[in-house]
Amino acid sequence: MSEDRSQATDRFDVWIDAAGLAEGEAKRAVDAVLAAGVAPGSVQVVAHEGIDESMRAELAETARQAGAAVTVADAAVLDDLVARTSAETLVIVRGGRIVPDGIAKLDGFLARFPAVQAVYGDSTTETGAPLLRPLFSPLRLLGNDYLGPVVAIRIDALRRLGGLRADARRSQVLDLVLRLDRAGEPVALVPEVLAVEDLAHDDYAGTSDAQRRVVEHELDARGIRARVEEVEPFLRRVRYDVDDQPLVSVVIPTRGSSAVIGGVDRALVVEAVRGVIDGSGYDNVEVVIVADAETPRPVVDELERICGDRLRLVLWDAPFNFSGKMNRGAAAARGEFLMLLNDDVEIVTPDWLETMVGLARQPGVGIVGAQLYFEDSTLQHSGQVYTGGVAGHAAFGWEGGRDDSIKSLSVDHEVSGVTAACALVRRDVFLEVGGFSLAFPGNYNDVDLNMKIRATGRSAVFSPWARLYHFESKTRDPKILDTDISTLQSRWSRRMQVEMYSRML
Amino acid sequence: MSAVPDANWAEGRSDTGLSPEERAVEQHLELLDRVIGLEEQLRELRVPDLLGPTEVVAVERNLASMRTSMTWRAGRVVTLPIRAARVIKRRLLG
Repeated sequence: MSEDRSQATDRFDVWIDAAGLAEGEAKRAVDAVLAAGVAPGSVQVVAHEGIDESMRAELAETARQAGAAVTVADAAVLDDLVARTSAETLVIVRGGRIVPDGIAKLDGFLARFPAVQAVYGDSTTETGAPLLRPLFSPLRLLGNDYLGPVVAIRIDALRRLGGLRADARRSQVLDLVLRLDRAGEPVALVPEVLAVEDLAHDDYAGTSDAQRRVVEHELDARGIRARVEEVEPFLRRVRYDVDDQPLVSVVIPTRGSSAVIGGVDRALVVEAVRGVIDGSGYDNVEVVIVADAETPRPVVDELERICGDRLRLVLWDAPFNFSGKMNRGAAAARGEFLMLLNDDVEIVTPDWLETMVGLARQPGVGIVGAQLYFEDSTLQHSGQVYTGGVAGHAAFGWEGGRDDSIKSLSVDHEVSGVTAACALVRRDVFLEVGGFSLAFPGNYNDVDLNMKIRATGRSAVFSPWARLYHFESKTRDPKILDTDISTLQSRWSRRMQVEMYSRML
Repeated sequence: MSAVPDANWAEGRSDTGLSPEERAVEQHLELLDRVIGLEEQLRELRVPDLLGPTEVVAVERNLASMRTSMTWRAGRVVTLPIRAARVIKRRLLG
């Protein structure tokens, strides 16, 4: 080991969280840390109260053999360690083993990006299958602690936070990272493998419940009124309060087409609007229909009958331009929020609007998208994926119910973008970024809108809890023009090179 | 899809257009998008660090991975005579 490397590892303290470890795992975790170059005196095995005597003895023996120490998972005791250490960074290992060059990777990343205060990284399973984590996603973190087995926090940032919270026991890492984010301290993903993850690691009785309490505390601290529901252990759904029901303008472009769906010929826009009015639990909506001149009069009549005085009909009598139609609808809309909706959809979850409005109101969120299914119930949209300067859909064509290893399709999460087939955005944000670009009459207009919104520092968010059918053909030829791609890339190419949100989809 | 008639549903109706204020909003959107689009084109060309720390490392890893691929190496071998000729030409002609 070089002298520089030795000096680097002296700057790290490592805590190994023993919660839920099976027999022999603590030793493997400690050995891995030592193999990564950390001095034994910098390693603490953190034992939680309530473990049995044999495990307590195993932890003590493991620490003794390695020259490490055992400490109790008490916030005051751990804070004392933080107060006394001369290390620059604290690494917390839980449910896995750090890889041999893990500390060196952390050291290099933190040295290169001094503003970053906490990091986490990718891992693999025992068999080497990759577990790729998303770019830092604070909203996703509320639903799922996706940070993985290795999280590193600068000691100074930890001290600025005021140390650990006693009430966050068994979920200290999640609590610390959420608090860092609230304090505006940058958190980042190291897109490299830092650990081998023990997927058998579990401790459902204690940790999952502790995580829920931490999330509830964090929401309260941020002044956010919401309810936290457990979907399954370690996975939560946050229902944001929208009791005041701000006005939502549902903007739908249409030419009044009909299609055979499920063997029945139906006027698409009529059924979509019927779902908005009759199939939704959200009452405060207006429907803005931007209709081509050739829209059949019976369709218009039926829309007026369904919506009554909640309908605003606007004529589109120019050549086709999706962007232009949506902008016209947005201009006519009065709502605080715009629901940008295609006419060939059917609502599945009656609380879709509450879900999306709740998310769109969260700090930093710019645009919210939904889970869309093809007619055969395979996935059409679970967020967009931007890579190599072009865009695609995450999990496209997956059968319904399938998920990835980090539960991306069961938790609200940040994405590169969302489709405009169903997207909710604040009207003032839409106006601020110039709406849809007329330079994209048919394709990539939503990609451009997402990028414009994200360029303001706001995020695009996907919710698997707002679900709709989208009766678009799987084999639809979008007829992408050369100018679509060249215009998109002239604006955003360098910022669309690597997909960092939906890496497992 | 069923056929749609030629008649304009809005004929005889006076409430299907935008008000002057709404028309102004529509025009404002178009103008603003053009400005933002040009600004972003400039940023793409002029701003050196458009990416965050994670993305920078990811791009570098992708690049490094590409340069160690067989395809890249084969390409370097195939283009070696052309690259060598260019170097010689540059040195001879200045």
